[in-house]
Amino acid sequence: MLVYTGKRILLALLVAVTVSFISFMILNLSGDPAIALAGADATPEEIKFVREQYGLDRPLLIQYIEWAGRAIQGNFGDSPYFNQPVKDIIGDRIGVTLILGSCAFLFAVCLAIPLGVIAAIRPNTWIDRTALTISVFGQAMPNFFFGLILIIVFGVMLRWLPISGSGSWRHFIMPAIALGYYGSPALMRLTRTGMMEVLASDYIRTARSKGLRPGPVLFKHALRNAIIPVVSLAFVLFGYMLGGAFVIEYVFAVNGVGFLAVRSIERADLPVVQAIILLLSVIYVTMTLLSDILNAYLDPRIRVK
Amino acid sequence: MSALLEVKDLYVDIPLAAGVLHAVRGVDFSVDRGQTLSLVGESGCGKSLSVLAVMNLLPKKAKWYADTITFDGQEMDKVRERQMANIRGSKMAMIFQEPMTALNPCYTIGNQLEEALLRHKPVSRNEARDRAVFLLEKVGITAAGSRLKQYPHQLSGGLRQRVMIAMGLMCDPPLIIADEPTTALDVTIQAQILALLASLQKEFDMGMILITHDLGVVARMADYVAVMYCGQVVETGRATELFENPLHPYTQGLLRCIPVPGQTKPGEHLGSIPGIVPTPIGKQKGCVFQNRCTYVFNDCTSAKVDLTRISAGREYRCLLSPEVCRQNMNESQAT
Amino acid sequence: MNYMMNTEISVPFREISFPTPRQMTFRQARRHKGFLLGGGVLLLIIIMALLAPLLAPHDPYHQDLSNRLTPPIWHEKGTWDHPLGTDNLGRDYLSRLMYGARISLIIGVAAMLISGVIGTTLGVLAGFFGGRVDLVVNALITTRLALPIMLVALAVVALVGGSLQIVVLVLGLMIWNRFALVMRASTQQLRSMDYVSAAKAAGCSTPRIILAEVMPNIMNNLIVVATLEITRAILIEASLSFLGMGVQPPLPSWGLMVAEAKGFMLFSPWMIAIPGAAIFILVLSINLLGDGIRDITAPEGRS
Repeated sequence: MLVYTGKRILLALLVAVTVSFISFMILNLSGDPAIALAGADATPEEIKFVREQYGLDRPLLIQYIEWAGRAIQGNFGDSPYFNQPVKDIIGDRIGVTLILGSCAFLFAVCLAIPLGVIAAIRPNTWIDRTALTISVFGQAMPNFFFGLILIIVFGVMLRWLPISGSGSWRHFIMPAIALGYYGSPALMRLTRTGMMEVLASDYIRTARSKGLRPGPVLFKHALRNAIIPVVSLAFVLFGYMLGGAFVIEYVFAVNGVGFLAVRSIERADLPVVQAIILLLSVIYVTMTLLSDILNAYLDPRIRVK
Repeated sequence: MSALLEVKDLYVDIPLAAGVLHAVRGVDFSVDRGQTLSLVGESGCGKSLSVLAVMNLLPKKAKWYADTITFDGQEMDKVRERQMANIRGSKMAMIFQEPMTALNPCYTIGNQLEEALLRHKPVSRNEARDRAVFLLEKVGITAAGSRLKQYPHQLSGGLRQRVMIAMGLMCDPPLIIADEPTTALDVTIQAQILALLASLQKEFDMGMILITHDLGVVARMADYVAVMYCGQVVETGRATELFENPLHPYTQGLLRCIPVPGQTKPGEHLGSIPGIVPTPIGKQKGCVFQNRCTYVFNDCTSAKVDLTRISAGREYRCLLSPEVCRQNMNESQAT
Repeated sequence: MNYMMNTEISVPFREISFPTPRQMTFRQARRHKGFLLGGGVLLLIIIMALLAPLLAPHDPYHQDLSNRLTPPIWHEKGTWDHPLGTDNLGRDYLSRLMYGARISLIIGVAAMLISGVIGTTLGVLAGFFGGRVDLVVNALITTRLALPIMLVALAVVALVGGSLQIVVLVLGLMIWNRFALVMRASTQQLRSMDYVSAAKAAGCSTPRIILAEVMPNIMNNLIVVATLEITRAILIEASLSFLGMGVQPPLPSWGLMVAEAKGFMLFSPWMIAIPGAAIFILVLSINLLGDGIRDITAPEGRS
């Protein structure tokens, strides 16, 4: 079990490094960062100056290795826009993103999983159809549009909630709903399908034949099995909500890492962008790693060989 | 003295897209303590559905009703699911066909065994554990203590079936129902499991309903037999009577399919029953066996064929008289 | 002794005739509400996009600053001249909506095709050869999954410059992961299918096996993934354009229209509602169609 975990951690690190390398290449090859930094109306001399100043004239591989070397030590360089260490800039904002992501995740889980379970117990009833409708709508709704609708309805028309910023806990309600709603359909469908399959399985019939009441049959036996693939997906979704909330943060002007990312791209603030990409890939591989470990823990067939 | 379980006039209907499937039509059977009743028939004849109906374990879509079901002196056909849940496991236990999938892969053997007892009796966890160990040893599993901590996937099919048997016995039920308990197992293990079931039945004085399609199993285990075909009981009787003197053409056909050591000559064709089982959707006209019966005649296609009673517990469902049936059997055996 | 086969007599129960698979497919297709609804709406949108030059009442790029922000027809101040109103530059919303359909559809299909080619190739290679090839492809897929595609797409567009082609290319080069996974699984199944060996045993030649038995199964999976990826591309493009890093103005991308309307949404909410709803309806219809196709053509669906 320990060896398994060790191998997976190593693999995760490898993936993170590869991602940072690829993104580095993509970013630096897509355009000339020197021009982006110097500004649209910079003279060729100014551009040349910027290039030498930031060491952008050296081979890309060297630049990457330098960057990686410093990154391992926790130094992600300075942001030319903020004139501050990238680490601090991101560190200031990561708390907000964590709160938002966690709330959105909780919302998604509390909405999707119970709905999926109930839909599986009572297939083809109104509740099943409602669950499927929510799922179908959720998959089709563009997240920025949903956010804007929430703002108009709850922020402007009803005036229940503040429409932008991240000052109080109230500011997080709508963004969390908008972000969480996006992940619910997949989670609900997986729960529903998994439960339906499990409920039709032989060991559930055995449980009933022992005289167990519907409660223990459902929760102790059925859910325990059906939840295994759901947990995996939930982890990946959580990772996405931590890192993929660019649009939601932008719409609600929540001052988190996503908002920073969009703005930094607009400003061609490459060190920040590069660091955020690394951060997001690390979050992703960590989440998949945790999900694998939890999977092995939940499913004895994997765990006990 | 009333029987332990008595079922009269059981019907099971399953709604399908093509119509309602009358899977079980007017089936009677009964079993007493210390006896083994065997329900025999081909796949799809309704034998499993019959016992699932009695235990109220049918899928939601299926509808069932019976004239009377009496269990341990109690009228059961009007019993609600709540009470049924109390009876399942404690008074009536079932062992299923597929041991590989019958246990929950996420919990230990011990957990699932103890659960069966803790559900019905107010005992402590330790007492439940002791009973589990006791029964595991009874079913022939060594190192029972450590087995309790194992997971189902760590056990072979034969072992899992033994665990299922132990699980059925946790509450000391008077009736045990075994639905093809050995079909999914190796031939060598089959014999062991059957012997185990027989000895346990004797020791605990249980009634047993044994469902099978294998006449060898019937010969070995059954006191009484009910032969089912296409949702109906076509012949009942003591096992010895049935094997010596099968009356219904279907039973005769089944027996002809088995090679008899000492009688069947090498290279001899085994019998087979031509045709396939019809699908019981819609209204029935005449005898259910008519399109496969060797002795069919005109009345078979139109008359309603009821069970003819020869003596207590000995019945058969055919228009031919017992003497003619006997004659048919002798003729076919002579050739 | 062989027993006499008894002559055929009437079976006591009603004969049931089961329809052929093709009949079942058509029958199910006609009855499947999602398939019909999704397919119907999608067809309408496609027609609208194709015939936009003929159907649109105005030039979508023509600005009429004297007629800015007129409301749609269901408002008291709306006119039939501009049934869906005009935007902040006086451009007719209905016309922009129609031309916007073209953009969404083109991007969706084109990105799906590019990613489909990449993903299918990788998946089939991995599934067919296994071993080291499989390992390499798996590593590629894992790496791709760890990449935040939205961020990378934003960055590339910001640095290279936004346009329809760039967006299609970037999306196509990044959303191939599902194709790869599905095709890999299908190809692996192909290698060890019971019915392939059964067909071989029955004497079918290998090409016939692949065409008649295996392809339908793979095609079904492929179609489902294709519809998913079209919607994914459409939604990502809408987000990119909304953030200003996708299709550039004055193109009437629906996402861009929402972005341009954001500043006016408090007083003219219909300005964001109309293009937003358009995206929603398009994606919904494609999803319903894809679900319907999957339900209808799945082998298990035929009971």
